[in-house]
Amino acid sequence: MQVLSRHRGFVGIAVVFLLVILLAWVGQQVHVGLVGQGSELRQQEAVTASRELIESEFANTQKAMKVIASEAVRLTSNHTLPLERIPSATLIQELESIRLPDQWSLSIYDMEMRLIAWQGESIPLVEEPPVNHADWRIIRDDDWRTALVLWEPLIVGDAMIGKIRVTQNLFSRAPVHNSVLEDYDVVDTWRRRARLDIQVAYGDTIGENLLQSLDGKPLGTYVITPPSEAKLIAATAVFYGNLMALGGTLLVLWFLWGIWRWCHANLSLTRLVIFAAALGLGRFIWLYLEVPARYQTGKAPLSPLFDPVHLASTLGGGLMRTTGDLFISSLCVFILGVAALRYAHACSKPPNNHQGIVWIRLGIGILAGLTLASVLVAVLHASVLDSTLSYIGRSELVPSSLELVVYASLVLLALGIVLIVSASLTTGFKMKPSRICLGVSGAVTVVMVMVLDWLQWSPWIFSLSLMIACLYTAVWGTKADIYLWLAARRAVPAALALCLLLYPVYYDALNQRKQNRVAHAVSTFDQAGSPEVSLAVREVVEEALRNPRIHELLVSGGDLEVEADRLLSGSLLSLLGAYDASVTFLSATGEELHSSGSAALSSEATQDLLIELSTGIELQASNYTFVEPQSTGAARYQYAGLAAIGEGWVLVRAQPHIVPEEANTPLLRILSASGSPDLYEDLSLASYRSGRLVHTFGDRFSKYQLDPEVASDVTRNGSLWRQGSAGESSRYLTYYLRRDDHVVAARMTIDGAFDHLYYLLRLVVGGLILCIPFCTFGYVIQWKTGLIPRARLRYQDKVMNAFLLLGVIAVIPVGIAGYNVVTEENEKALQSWLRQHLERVESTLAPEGRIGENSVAALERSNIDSLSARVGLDLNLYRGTRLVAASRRQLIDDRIVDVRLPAEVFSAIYGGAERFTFVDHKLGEFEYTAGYRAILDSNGNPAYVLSVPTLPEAERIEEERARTLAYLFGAMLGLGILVMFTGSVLARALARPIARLQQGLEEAAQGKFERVLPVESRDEVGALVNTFNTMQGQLSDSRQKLARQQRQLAWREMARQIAHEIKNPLTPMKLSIQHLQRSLGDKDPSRFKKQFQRTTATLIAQIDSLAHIANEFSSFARLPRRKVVTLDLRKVMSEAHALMQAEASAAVTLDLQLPDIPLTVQGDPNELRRTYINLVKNALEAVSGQDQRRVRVTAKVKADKIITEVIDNGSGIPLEVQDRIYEPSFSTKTSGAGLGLAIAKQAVELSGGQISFTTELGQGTTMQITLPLYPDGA
Amino acid sequence: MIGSRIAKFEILVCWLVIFCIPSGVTWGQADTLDVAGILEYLSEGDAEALVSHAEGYLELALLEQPRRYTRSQALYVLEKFFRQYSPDGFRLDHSMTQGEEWWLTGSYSVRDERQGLRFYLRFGGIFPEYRLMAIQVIRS
Repeated sequence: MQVLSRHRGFVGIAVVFLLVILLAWVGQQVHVGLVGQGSELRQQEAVTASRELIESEFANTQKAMKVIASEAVRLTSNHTLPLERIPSATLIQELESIRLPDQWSLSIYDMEMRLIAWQGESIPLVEEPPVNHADWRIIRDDDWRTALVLWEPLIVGDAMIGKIRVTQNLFSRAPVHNSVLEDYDVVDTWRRRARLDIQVAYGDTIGENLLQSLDGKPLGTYVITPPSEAKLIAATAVFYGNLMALGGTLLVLWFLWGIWRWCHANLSLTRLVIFAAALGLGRFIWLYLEVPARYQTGKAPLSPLFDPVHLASTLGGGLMRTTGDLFISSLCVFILGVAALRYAHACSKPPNNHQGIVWIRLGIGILAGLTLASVLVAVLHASVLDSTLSYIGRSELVPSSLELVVYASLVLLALGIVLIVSASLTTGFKMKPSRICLGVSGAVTVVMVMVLDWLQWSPWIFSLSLMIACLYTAVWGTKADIYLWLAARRAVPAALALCLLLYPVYYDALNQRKQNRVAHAVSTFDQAGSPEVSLAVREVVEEALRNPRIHELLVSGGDLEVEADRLLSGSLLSLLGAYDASVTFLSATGEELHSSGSAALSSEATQDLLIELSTGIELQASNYTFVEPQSTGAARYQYAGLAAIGEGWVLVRAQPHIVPEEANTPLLRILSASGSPDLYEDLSLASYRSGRLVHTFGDRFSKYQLDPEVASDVTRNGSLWRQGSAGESSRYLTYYLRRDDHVVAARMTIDGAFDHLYYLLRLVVGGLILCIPFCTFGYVIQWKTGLIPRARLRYQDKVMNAFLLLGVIAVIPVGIAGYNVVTEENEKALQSWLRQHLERVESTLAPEGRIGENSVAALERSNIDSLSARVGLDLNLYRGTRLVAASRRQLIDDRIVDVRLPAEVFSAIYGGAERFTFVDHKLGEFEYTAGYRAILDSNGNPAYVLSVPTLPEAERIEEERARTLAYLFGAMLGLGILVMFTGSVLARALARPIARLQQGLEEAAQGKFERVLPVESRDEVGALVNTFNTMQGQLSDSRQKLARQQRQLAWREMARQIAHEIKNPLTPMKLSIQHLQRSLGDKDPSRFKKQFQRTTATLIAQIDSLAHIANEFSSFARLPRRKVVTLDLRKVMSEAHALMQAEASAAVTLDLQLPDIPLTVQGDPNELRRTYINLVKNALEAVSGQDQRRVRVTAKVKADKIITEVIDNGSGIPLEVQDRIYEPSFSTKTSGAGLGLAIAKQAVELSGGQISFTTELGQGTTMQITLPLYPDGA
Repeated sequence: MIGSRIAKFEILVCWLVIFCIPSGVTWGQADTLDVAGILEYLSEGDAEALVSHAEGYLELALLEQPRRYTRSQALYVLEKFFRQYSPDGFRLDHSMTQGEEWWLTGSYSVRDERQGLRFYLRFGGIFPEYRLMAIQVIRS
């Protein structure tokens, strides 16, 4: 109960958190019950809210379109109408001031519906525009796009001069779905916000829920599916569950904070272990509660952090089940490391350096270091291997945010481990291990490192490096305050060192992942047949047979494209990433009607396949057949299914996906289904039969025969990894795999020095980013604790800071300039490349021109496909504003290339009379540049515009740019490191003589003149050191003379004092003896006897006095024969108090106030007792003249010191004598030898303490003795 | 005094060893296939049991493009999927074998949702030592 009442505040807050949990639980039970009872009402409420949301969003969209239309009217009305030229380049330029969102477009027509100006990509004009009023429409661009259209009359003054069309895509289908491309659907936004299923039928005008235009025209209907009762209950339960988890999380955090405060108050090993256990337990409780993952789901900004799709490992029982969890776990280890380091700091040197304990402590440090090294290796491997993150992607300079989190986590974990091990070693080093102990520890470490390497738990280089880092931190690192490590000057090199430490293991994991990929590629390359694909093809064929719409379209001859796409999309076939698939519809006579998909064959090949398969149908007397996998030449296998449907056929094909080598231009990676690097990217593959090369992909297999030695090894072992080289620059790794009767091989290049630099840089970026919050935290703490601005700054630090500042000032502008130069040069190179290719196209046309013809006529005669094949480029040709020919028709069909000339191109060529122009395009999140060249007619006017998009090359160009920037960044980083290192060395070199000089001055101030400083430089600093040495010599001589004089004076004073003290008793002795002599002649023997007795008494008294004086001087002068023991000062003080209590008169109040805890010190008890007796005696004498005489003796503990005080309310010590009170023989009293305080000072200092006083005349004096508290005493 | 210090350090060592040794590393071999068990695992959404039949890598296409995951990663990915689409039963539709591959397709009912899912499971190896190689899921 006492504990609870003492920590009322803490317990109170914990109870609040518990109440939150309890109330949330009660709320969940009650609310779920209520939801269950009134589900219909709640369903209705949800539907109503969603309806309001949809209508409001739809209305807002229309209002925004109205604003765009009004702006267009305003801009157009500034022009003199009718326009001289249509389209108007000037107006197009002005329209650029209107910022159109993505998926929007704007077109301005004249009254004859000629296009005057436009912005954004085109939507086909399929609707009939209204005559003279504003109108809203819904239009469809086949199955690709559905758009909302606003027609607005263009009225200037009172006259209508044209029409404005604003469109917004409500739905836009991507040709493929991958990380770059995805469908756009406004309904998805509504669904997400309403959290309900919403279906919209655009164009339907009859229904309960209408989508209406601003003027009330029905544009579509929508259906909202109300949430089921179970969903309502689940949603309610989730809300309260989240609340309970929040309460639990806060409770755990609060307890951890409390435990830390408790540990911090008196940090011991036991408390540290308890804190560590609590931290580990708390971490697992958070994992169990799924915090913070449960708050970051769906579209939440941090949801990717907690998605196992990116990284998840069972290592650690869930501690790294997602990227975010890995980071939090690493943070916990780091916190533990800081706590351990604090313990190591606080852990004082024990009195008895028992070597057994030293052995144990160092042993634990070594064991912990090597165990944690193995753990770190396991985590590094799991982070790479149990992850789908790219890590080695070269398309971006800065790694993705998730990769950065992984890198930062790894650096943080390594830092935490280094701190823990360092703390462990520090406790051992504090006990001054013997050389034998250190030697044996080193040898054991090396042996264990080798054993771990042999067990393949941790590479020796890594374990050894980690141990060296820990050793460095233990020996030098722990000297500085922990917050000082959070300064950029220390944190940045530390982060760099950790990255360098981690890199070998990180790269090993990367390499292993690459090898896994190669093995998988070999397996896929050699895959002869899969039931999976057979079934997938069969399913698509059967689905086609079941679809009545296809029957109808084949009979009616309608457009089959939509149905073909539907058959493929969402089917199992579309999920087989390693396969190309296609659906082809044919007429009864075998004429191809429509073909979709990436595995579509040429017409001739389709005919051949049809004949082959239809023969099978006839044989089986069925309308359906299917072929087992068969080779289509070039060792590619195909799967095909054919079925007779209505008046035609459906043919479904699939074949392993390999980039066709015969293509004129490379395929677009972003248009592949996965959107990720191809399975075979950067690989060459080959298949050997009987040792002969029968099939190859890529260009790295140049030999037509398998090396006999390799063949033998592969046959014997089943598989083989082998390194080789082709020329000086290219080294590669080959994987050979034996199959039934052949060998399959895959080859990849081995990473070079630049690749290592690139990977390392990415890791370093993660480490540096981690420094930002740490250094910020460190600076804040230093500022709050008064460490900055520093009261005293080392000259070395000042010089180093100056160098750093200089480095930063130099590096940042160079980096920015370099970045701009690289970007600009890259852009120039790209434009130059495009310009050359566009010129090459025109020059290719020149020989085809007849005499007197220009290139326009040749262009019109030539076929764009053959032209494209000749120049090896994708080409698009525009006449006026319209696309009239394209070499890759698929890009037009897939709505990737717009059929309307971009407005800015028109403006530049037709308005600005430019021959060339370049425009950036966006495809999903992918950006590329297209070059445009005007092909001029005989009058010098643009007849056509030829375009070369860099779509296929854009990825390569971007990769090159990223690589160049990475190297630039690397160079800047290297320069930064060099500046820091040089700065550090120079600062040290510059500051060393000054530091020595300062040390020399400090020693001189303490009276030590022995050390002569070395003169290392010939500059002013050297001269200064020389002068100092001379001055120090002079001072030393002067001091020796002074000491001699002082000694003489002291002897004189001593002699005078002794003489004076001896003289005092001698006079009465002499007088007494003279009296006795005189009384010898006295006749009265009784008088002589009386005199004799009086004289002898006097003599005895004076001789005692002389003996006392002799004892006092002897006591001061004699060498200490101290007997030091560990004692409780309270006992000593109590004895002194008791003795003085007996001597003190009744008028004096003598108090003793001692604490309950033992005041353990090391010292001589007799000496200390005498000290306190002397102080109390002085105090009693000082209060003798006062009315209220009070003397207090007190003791208390502060940190590791014991502070005792003897306080009196006496007369105080006059200012003029305060400096001399510790001098021997000094006394303000008339009795005594004046040695009491001198002896007390000597005793206190011999016990490692200090004596001081404060005094005020008339008020009293406080004598304070401070002694060190023996460690185990508290 | 020395004895008590040694005892404290022993506790620290034990703690370090217990805390730091990875607990849950799923190296090891895949279990022998049990078809009835597989159906049960799918009905119950038991990702751990399912993954125990995989070896090395597992290809997953759970309503999205296929990706290769390590067994360790696949466990959490499947767990997340089963949490999102709580199972309400699994019915085996097809089973076919070809060469060293075995195929299962079935219908997966999702709790509180009308529209179900289709599961495709591909196994490799020689009976009865089949190993789970891929799981694909599409909307039915």
